[in-house]
Amino acid sequence: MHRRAGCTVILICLLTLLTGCWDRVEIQERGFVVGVAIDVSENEAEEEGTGEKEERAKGKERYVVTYQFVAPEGLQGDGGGNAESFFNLTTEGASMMETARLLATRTSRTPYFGHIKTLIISEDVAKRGRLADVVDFFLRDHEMRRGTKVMIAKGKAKDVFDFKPPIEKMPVMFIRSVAENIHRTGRIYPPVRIGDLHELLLRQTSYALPRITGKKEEVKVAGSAVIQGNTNRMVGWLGEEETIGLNCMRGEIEGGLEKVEVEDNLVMYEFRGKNTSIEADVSDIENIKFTITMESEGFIPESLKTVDWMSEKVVREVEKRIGKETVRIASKALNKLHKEFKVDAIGLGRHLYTHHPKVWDKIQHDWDIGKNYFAKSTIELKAKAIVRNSGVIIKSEPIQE
Amino acid sequence: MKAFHYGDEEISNKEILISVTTMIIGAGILTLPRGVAQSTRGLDGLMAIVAGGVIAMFFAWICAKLSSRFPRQTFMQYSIRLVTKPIAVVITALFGFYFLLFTAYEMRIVATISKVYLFDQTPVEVLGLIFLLVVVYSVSGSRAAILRINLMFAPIVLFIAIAVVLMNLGYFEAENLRPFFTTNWKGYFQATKETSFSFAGYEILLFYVALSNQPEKAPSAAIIGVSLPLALYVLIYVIVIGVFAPESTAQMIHPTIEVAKEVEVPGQFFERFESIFFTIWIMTLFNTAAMALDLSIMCLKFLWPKIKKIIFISVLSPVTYLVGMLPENQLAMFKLGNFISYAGIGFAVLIPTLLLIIAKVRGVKGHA
Repeated sequence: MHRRAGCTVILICLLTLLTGCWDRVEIQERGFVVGVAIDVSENEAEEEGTGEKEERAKGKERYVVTYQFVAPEGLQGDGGGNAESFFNLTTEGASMMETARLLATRTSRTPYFGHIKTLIISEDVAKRGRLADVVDFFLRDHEMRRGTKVMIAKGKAKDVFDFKPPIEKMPVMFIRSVAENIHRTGRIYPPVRIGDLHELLLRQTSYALPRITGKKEEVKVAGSAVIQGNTNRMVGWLGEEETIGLNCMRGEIEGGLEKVEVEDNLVMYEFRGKNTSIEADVSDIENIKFTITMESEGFIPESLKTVDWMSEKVVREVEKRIGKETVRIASKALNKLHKEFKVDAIGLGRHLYTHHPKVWDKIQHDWDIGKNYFAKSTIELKAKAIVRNSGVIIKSEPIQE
Repeated sequence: MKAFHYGDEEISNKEILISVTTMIIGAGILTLPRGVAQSTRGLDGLMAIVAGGVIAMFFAWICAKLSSRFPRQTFMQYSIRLVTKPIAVVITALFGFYFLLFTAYEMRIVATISKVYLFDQTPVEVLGLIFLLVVVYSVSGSRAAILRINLMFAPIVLFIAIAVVLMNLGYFEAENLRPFFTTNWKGYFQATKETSFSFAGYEILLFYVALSNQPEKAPSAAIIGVSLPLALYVLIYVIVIGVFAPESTAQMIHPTIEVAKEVEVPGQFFERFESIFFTIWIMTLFNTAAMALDLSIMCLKFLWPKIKKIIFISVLSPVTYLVGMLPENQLAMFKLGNFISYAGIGFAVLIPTLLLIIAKVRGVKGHA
């Protein structure tokens, strides 16, 4: 009997443990952060609101960070309600964690970072070489995922989040979808995940990041920011066409358009896949010779010039012109990187590391910095295009003689 | 009668094989890619893993060979015959202490990692205690049951581990694997040392083969038992390097968890795949810790055969708990882990090899 009574007491005590768990946060009490925009602060370090000078440790920089939250109430229904489906909170601090914790004083919902989709960093942050500083928190925290996409904003990063997208309910979702349109245009630099950025930062090789331009009325993802790998300082922009060129050289283009002139009118060519091969002649490290061969295939979606697409001669001629055009676009980007910035965002250094590791060991500290072997190298561009088909018709009007 | 099929305290070689696998996988799988990537370039670390695995296979074979030489004799019994009673007592006591540390370490790892990734507010002490209580519960029962539950869990564990690998193929970049064969000898040596630690655990053969109903086949079971984790480590390493590149892998505390976190399958449930990964990984650690605690008790029971098992359990579990909670932070915890690994080399490599040599030289064998 005693034994049974003892057991009962223990079981009743154990029941109390079943009531809950330490870390319970109900889903409706969570504030899901979907995007973060980081700007540099212009203000002197001040305790928010009070105006008293801060006596605590000061960092090298102060940041204004905007967090975009989902407001699930606004997402319900078919857009009938007037409720906004997102809200932004902006805080200021010397580190990301500081701003994140300041959020707790401003929102009733516990911020949860596991669903951050995009991280937008303003050009000022990038130009001051603070990229590694600002992404550290997003890599280190266990809630974060390495799939967050990173972009550099022209102007203020915060402006991007104020934009009211016409179709999507949240600016961040809109941006994310736009940034993934790389199948349709080469003007967008392929999305860089924060995990990839971690790799790039650790390798100290130069790289590019997609550019986003935000205004109240319109947000545009096109072009790219070039970042020097050793200093992690942004050195400048590549425009939209130059970004196509960079994408071609990196062989990362998945779709996009090129227009070529045939006689007096235009013919459009759409890429469907690109393959780039790099060859390096490293016999003289003072003048390494690279040959970048860009092969593409695609079709003709629009032919303003009426030509006979059934004729092999015509097709060969167009292919040649497309090749020339590719080289022209790529060399524009190459000139900027090679002659003006002297920064290797193409990944030639990486090619040396993977294919000529012994040479790379000798020159890696002076690749696109210091002695700058990159600037001393010679780069030759070659292009080859294959027109797979001319669409579903041959001509839209008879050839005029 | 069928109902009594599992009523006996003996196991087949299948259980031996899987127990070795489980014991090896344990905690090492989470940190292995980091240790290897830190000292190698590209995919070169793979060679170190294979080398570590082959070394482990050899010594696992030695352990199995030694204990199958004395069918159905406990470690204490045959070591007395080989190296006089006082020395056997000392060795057994050391083994007991070693397995106790091992249990404590596994408990602490489970508690620490679950705190970091799953329970932000729950104290480590509580997490550790709960885990230890479950382990104590399983150890209180039959010994063969612990080994049989390994066999039950293993397919689930292997299945999820392979799922993690497959689901990451989309992020795999072959370019990350290059360049090949550029690591220097020091790097290979360092990485092999690191992997050898991750392969420790096959010393359980010295004790569990005594329960086997076919001890003469134990050595081949041991080799297969080591080759399973070897295959798994190779797969995981290739995928981790392909997804993260060696540079980032070297900077991640638990690359294998991070790789499980990478998986983002659209759809509500699998989007957070790491929760499933944690579940199965804690199952493995539960098995590992249960075996270690059980062995610790077995060793003490050799020394004081008259004391009841339950007394040992009630004395050992608080000690294990305290030892496990001793390291004050992650660094101290890894230090304890390293200490155990070095000790493990002694227990898994030196002692069995010496004993086997003595047995061969003196020609001691089987029933006498």
